[in-house]
Amino acid sequence: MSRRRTREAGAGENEELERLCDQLGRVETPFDEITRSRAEARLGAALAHEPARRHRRARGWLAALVMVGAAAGGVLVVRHLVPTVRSGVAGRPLPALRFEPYVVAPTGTATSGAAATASEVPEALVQPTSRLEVPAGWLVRASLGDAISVTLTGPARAWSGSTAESGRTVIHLEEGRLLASLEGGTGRRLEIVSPGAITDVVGTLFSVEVVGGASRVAVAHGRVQVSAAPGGAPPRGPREIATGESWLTTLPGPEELEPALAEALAAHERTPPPRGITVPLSVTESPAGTGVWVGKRRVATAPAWVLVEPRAAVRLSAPARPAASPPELPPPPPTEPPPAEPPAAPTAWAMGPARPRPLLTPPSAEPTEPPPLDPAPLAPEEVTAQTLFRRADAARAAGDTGLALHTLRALVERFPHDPAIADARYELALMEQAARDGETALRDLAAVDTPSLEEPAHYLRCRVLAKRAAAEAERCLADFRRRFPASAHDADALATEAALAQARGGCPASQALRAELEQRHPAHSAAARLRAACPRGP
Amino acid sequence: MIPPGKPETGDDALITAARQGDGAAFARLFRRHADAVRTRITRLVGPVAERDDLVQKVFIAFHRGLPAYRGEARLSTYLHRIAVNTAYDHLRDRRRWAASEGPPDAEALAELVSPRLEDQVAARADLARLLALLDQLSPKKRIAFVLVAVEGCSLAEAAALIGAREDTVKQRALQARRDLLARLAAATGTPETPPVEGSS
Repeated sequence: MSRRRTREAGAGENEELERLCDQLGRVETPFDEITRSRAEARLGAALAHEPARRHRRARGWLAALVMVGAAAGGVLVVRHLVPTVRSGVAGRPLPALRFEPYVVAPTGTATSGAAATASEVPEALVQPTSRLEVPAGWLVRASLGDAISVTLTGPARAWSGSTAESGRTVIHLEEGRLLASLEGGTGRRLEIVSPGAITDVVGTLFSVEVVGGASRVAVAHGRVQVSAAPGGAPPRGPREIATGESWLTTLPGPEELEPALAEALAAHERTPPPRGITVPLSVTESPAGTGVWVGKRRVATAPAWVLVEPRAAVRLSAPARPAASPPELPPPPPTEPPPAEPPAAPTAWAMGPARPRPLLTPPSAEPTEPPPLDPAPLAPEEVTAQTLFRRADAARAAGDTGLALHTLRALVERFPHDPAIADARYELALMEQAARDGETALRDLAAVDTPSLEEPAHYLRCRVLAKRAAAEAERCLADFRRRFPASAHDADALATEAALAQARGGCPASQALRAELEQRHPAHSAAARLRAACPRGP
Repeated sequence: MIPPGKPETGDDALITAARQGDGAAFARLFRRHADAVRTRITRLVGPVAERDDLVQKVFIAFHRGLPAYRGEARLSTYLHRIAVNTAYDHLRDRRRWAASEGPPDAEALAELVSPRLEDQVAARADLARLLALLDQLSPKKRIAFVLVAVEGCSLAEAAALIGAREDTVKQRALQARRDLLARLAAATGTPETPPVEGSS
């Protein structure tokens, strides 16, 4: 008798071990696109050092020989070196700085245009170069030395000139629009040479755009000085362009800075080059239009190539549906290149704006959708709880969870006494649970007080708890089943409660619940699994 | 950056190109095989934080070994052999230095098993339990057991991956199974099968 019991027990453990192994065997852990891209970049960087490692020993000998040679000829080298340095100080041009791209992506949301159909980023655009040619439909952000960053919107051509003894960096803009920022500092000067204009900058955020044979210079903040370029418009003497002004060199005086251009400049400023060590990141497998976020900023739209700091938090957001695109800007005059980027804030709260909008989740949350750029202005006279609810629905239908979250939070904050508030909180909790932000989800669920939502809110609370506090989840589920015995969730609730009990105390702890599951929902998938886990039955 | 490339090229052509220093070809090989290598490493060592470092090690070793790779084994077999060795080194070092990073993140793995909450609850507990049990095994036994019992490799396949004889692998897998069954029995309070029963 005892021997038979032992044999049965051995068979039980065998089955249990098989079941556990089966669970592990079902686990597949492929890379997601971001981690794969990062891993690929790290691998590329590591392999770049491989030949050096392999030939280190040989190079050691070579280095020794070179050192001996260098020591022998040291005096001669110094004699020649000193005049060279002096000649540089005396005005000899130093090598030109190169554009170091850090964001390459289609312009706008990439739901239209030539780049929208591209599946890969043009290789030529990601290479450091002193001559940058950006095709139509693409946008390149690049740094030029430590203090200058530029954005070129295709079609555009620019090249960097020599840095003269004054420390002045020169960019020649031949075509298109260049947005630039220069961090001011001692001796830092930037000069943009474009048709009919030389723009001299000490520290500011501005743009220069080639318009026919002339140039338009606009300043978001700071001040620039524009003088006539040789062979350009008749010289009128230098003119200063101040913050908020835009001047086409063929016109007599400056005009007000266009809102779209101001926004493009602001977007340029919001996307500074990464500092220190960087790694490249390609997002080419996600659908076109997928947002690429670094930290709290949407920096590009797939297919994109982005240079990021190694520890930067990079996330992707779902592409916007074309139908839900934000209001397009009016098309520019034919002589002007297309606008670089859509405005960060639509001019009006039209239905279903598709770009991610500010996300008001707490900082501790781990969002599945990246947090958007910055708070959007809400126009009180245009917005009601109902319109916000519809916008949230539209955003969610478009796959833009970030926007949906933001919109619902705006609803909750702005209309705390509206009858729609309970629905909004329940919808918020659903999204927060999906985003693994259980704490916020529980907080929102606690505020759902509408009788019609009592049952789903209770069940959702139990589901959230099941991932956070097993004992509390068990109590929650038991209470749920007692209060809502006819619920459509009854079978799943019972199965989850049984699984929690099984996890807590094994077969003895789950015995009663397994028996109930067998009796009431024998076809449930969990019933079969629990049967296999506890073959001796309830 | 290794630039992207066309996916339809065969492994052999990519290997030839990679041998000649074509970084793009090597990147394509990485993209093609990295997911499978990552999954195998996860099963062998658990969902540890260093998984992606281990994947990188595998491909660096592969890159170093390119000149010597003669194509006698399929590339996937060759890569997974490196992956098994890398996993072994990791497990051995982890054991030696007791540098475990804490309990394995079974929650993250459980979510990959099923979208259903009740399945995830069960899987989470199961995976945490199995990973804890596997952590008790020696690296050699663990690898043999995972390859044979979890991944369903034949003894010949497992032996090829490990680089050991089939009977050695068989012994290790059987010993691992006995150890695990004993620990399971001890955990559930079932009396251990006496030797006279010949449980192995």
